[in-house]
Amino acid sequence: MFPNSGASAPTMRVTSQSVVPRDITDEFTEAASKLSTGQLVKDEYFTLFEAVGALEIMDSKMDSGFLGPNENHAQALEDDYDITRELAPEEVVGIMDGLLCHEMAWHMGHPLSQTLFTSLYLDRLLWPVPNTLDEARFTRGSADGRNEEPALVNLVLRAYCMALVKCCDYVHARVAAEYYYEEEDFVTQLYNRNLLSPFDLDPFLDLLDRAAAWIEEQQDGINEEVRAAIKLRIEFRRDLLLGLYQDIDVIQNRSSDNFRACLSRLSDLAQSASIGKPVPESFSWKVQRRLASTVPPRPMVNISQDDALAHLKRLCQDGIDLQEILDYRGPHNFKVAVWTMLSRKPQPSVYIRSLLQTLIVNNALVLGVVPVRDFLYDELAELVLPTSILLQANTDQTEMPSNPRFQIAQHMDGFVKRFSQPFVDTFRSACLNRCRIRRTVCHTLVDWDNLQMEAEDLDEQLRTLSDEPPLILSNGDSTYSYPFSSWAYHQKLNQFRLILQLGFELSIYSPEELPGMYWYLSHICSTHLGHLDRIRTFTVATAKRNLTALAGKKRDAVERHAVLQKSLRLLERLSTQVVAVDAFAISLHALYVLLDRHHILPTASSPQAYSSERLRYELRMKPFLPITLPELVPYDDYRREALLEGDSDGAVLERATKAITEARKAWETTLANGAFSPDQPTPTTPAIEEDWKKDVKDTMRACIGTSLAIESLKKGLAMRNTSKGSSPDGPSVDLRVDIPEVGSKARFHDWWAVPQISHNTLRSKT
Amino acid sequence: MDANQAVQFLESLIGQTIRVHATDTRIFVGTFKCTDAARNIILGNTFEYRPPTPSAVRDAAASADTETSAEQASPNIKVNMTSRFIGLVVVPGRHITQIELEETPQQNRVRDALRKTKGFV
Amino acid sequence: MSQTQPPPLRYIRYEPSREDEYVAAMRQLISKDLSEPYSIYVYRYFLYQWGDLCFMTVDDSRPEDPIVGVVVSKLEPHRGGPMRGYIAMLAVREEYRGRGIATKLVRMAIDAMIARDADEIALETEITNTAAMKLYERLGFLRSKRLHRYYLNGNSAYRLVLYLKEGVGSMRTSFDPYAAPADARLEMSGAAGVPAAPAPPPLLQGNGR
Repeated sequence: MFPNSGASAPTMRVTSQSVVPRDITDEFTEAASKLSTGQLVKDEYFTLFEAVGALEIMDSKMDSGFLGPNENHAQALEDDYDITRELAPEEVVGIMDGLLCHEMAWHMGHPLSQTLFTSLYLDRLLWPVPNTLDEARFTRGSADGRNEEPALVNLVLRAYCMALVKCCDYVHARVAAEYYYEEEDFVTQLYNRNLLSPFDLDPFLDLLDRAAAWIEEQQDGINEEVRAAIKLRIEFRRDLLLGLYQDIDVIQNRSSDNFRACLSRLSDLAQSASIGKPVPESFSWKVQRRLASTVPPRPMVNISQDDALAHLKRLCQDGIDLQEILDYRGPHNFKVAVWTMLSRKPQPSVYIRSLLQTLIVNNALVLGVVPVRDFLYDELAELVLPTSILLQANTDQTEMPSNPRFQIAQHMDGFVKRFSQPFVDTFRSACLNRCRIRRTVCHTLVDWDNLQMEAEDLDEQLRTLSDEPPLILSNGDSTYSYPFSSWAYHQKLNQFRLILQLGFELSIYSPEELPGMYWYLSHICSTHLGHLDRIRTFTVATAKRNLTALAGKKRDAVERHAVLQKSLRLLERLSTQVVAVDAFAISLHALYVLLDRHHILPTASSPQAYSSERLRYELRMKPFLPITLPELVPYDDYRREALLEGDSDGAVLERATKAITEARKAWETTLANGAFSPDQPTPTTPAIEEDWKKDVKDTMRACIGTSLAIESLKKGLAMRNTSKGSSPDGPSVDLRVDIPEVGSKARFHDWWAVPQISHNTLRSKT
Repeated sequence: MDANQAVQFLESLIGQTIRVHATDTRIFVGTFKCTDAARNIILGNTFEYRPPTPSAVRDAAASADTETSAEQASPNIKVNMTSRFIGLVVVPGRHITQIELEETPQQNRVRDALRKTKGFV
Repeated sequence: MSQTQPPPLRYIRYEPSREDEYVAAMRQLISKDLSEPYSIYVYRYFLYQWGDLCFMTVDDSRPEDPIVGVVVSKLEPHRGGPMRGYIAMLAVREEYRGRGIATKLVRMAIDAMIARDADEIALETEITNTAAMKLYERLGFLRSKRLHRYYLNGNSAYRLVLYLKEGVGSMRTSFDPYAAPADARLEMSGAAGVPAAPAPPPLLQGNGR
């Protein structure tokens, strides 16, 4: 279905000089009547495509100003609701909770017009746009605009509303400053209003304090329980306001006190919700008829209190847990922390993701302290250039242009300029929504392919300048390390894997594609393993050379030795993880090949489909077609490999069994290795480690599920061999295969589509 | 007006600001982009104008009373139509009650002159 | 069983001279079925340029309201590259579903596109619309990407794509990810078709925008 498109932000209508309207109704009508069916008179620069975006007036689905046939003018625009009326204390609780639900719905991505802006209280405060805080009152426009009675409304509820709007202001500002997708992640549209953004924090705190103090004094007037509920909500709002105000200052403050305080109040908030008496008439979707809006009218979004509180709880918890990524401990560990945190289910809210984006890099500083250049150098030193002179040269220290160190430094400057942003973006892309991560990585893959080629040129130039000794291969050929392009290739292979795994997560692949996609995943993994081996070979050679120096007990050599060993350990850690993925993929590949071979794999396409398998393969490889390395596997090779042509059932079963055993071992080792490389100073990160462990354990459960599936299949195949009644056309094996959907209980892990294989009990006897 | 003249007339309006009155009393003011035999009019950068609600009139009257009580009360109260930006819209012909062209006084004179000489527009 | 035979259905191609009659019927059919609201000009955009790719199912036994199914499509070069067909709308009256009408309509549209030398066909469908997903996947479409909260109602979509010729995937397009996103918003098959969406990212560059 074709999606609607909308127009851009509202502007003020400007009429520069006096205009005289002239009635042209009759002429226009007569002229139009002379047009033939289908004939258009239009601006030659205005295309029909643009016309698609036009909203049709008087159509209830498109015209936000449309009034139904039974609505009279006054009712349609204004609600009978009296904003200055007295409220029972229970109603104040109800309104506050209603507002909180709408606030969270906005956080979840719904527009203000369908959520908070439906509140008639907020509407009165925010429109017309107040010039001073004092103007933002419920009583504005009325004769006694200064009146604070009833205080429960004009002091307490107003304070809550004002602080809530300010909370939204902070959220809005953070999200709008970062990379997000309008409508997909968040709707920043303010409909020509503002969220009290010109005003500082303090007056809002004062309002809340005054409200809290007043409520405190009402021992006689208000029932104790209700009073406590109102006070709790004011205090909670104060904590949330401070938490959101802290924003990126968390880097300096390192405080999670406010979010912790919010979190600690949530259960009381939930329990006391029943005290509240909702005032649904104080919310109206009719407000949309008065908002500057270029989108069709949409119904008010109502989320339940439970859903709102659950979202709020995750927001606070994520706000607390992101403390754990703030201590810098090298690019590898940083990446694990960032990706683990952002892969939480459900995904952290857009506010948290935006905040993390800023924390990852802001003003060319990573986590507020590490210059992007150092960050990139740390990465290179960790992986491909431990102890290398290339990372030590600095243009400031050597000024002789003839000095190779100077030239190296110049080249390195160029490298940093070119590679910093794409490298940092491999972290920032984790902050996008999951669909966008995959789409973005499909694009960056092409960039990294180009970067790798550029890096190869750089490698050749620097090799001469740094006097790199060649590595002599066993056949006598010599080769060089190509550190920069090696590193770029490593990045690219990570991205290949991510695209495939997110493909499973987002349920992109149809069942009949699973054998091929798991084969391709294993193909990428084995390519990656070969590449990591190559990198390791050069590091080992450097370490060997260093041993000679080490024997001479030079201090430098001792330090170098430690750095080299560290790098080798990291390579080992990476290899273990890739082996684990590889083995699992090999096993699932083999398993699916057999399901396919025996026609028990469900299929989405019918025999009368328009596309052939070859065309479907081409479409599936689309993101990889423009990539030079690794080379595209030609369809015929793919088909041979992916179908394990020529291998007997027994051999394929054996392959699946062996691979899953290896996978289980490798995942156990991965788990034992822990989330983070211990070679970097490691602060305590209990929450992220917990997430990471859960992820690995879920993968291990998926491995066990695969073992069971293999066993079931083995039995099914054996039974078929002994039974004689199997028909030649239908499924020859009496098994039923279900592939649990992502998010279902039986799907142990999003990235691993493990089939459930069971015996067909309803066997047709006809 | 023959078919050619009709097209000419409509084309002369392209890009001009027109006011389209709808059956429900709203007025849409925007740049004329396109129309067809059924007078379905596309307007760009449109503002919607709506007559004030009775209560707005009442409020205005009330505040006029308080403000002018010391002075001479003005018998006429001015209440603005409420307006908002709604962007690109189609006003279907069947909902149109009146169409006005916004002109400067000068344009108005020129048009009148043209009308007299050419016999149309 | 003397069950009454289902009335014979006719399949016809859109006819511009009968715009008023056909578009009104189509609008009624589609507005009931699809969550996105479309103005008359949405129909014109498709029908004036690609009316020959629009097909309808007619049930003559109900002369007062005979159109019971419709498919609306277009076909044009995608970013200056392959000829991409696009199925914009598909609707079948509720009581006529389950009779293969939608499949037949889509097949007619695809066949017409093939006759006009289409290289590929794309469309989007709501993730929750399992019937539509099944229909297209049976015809050989694959999910190429998932589009987060693509529709006004907040639902996500899959982009489904069908290649009709070899080599489509490697056809050059003029798309430059670094180019200024001038009219990218208007690229309807891109995510930018979503209301008020910012242009597709020139990847991730500096903070803010």
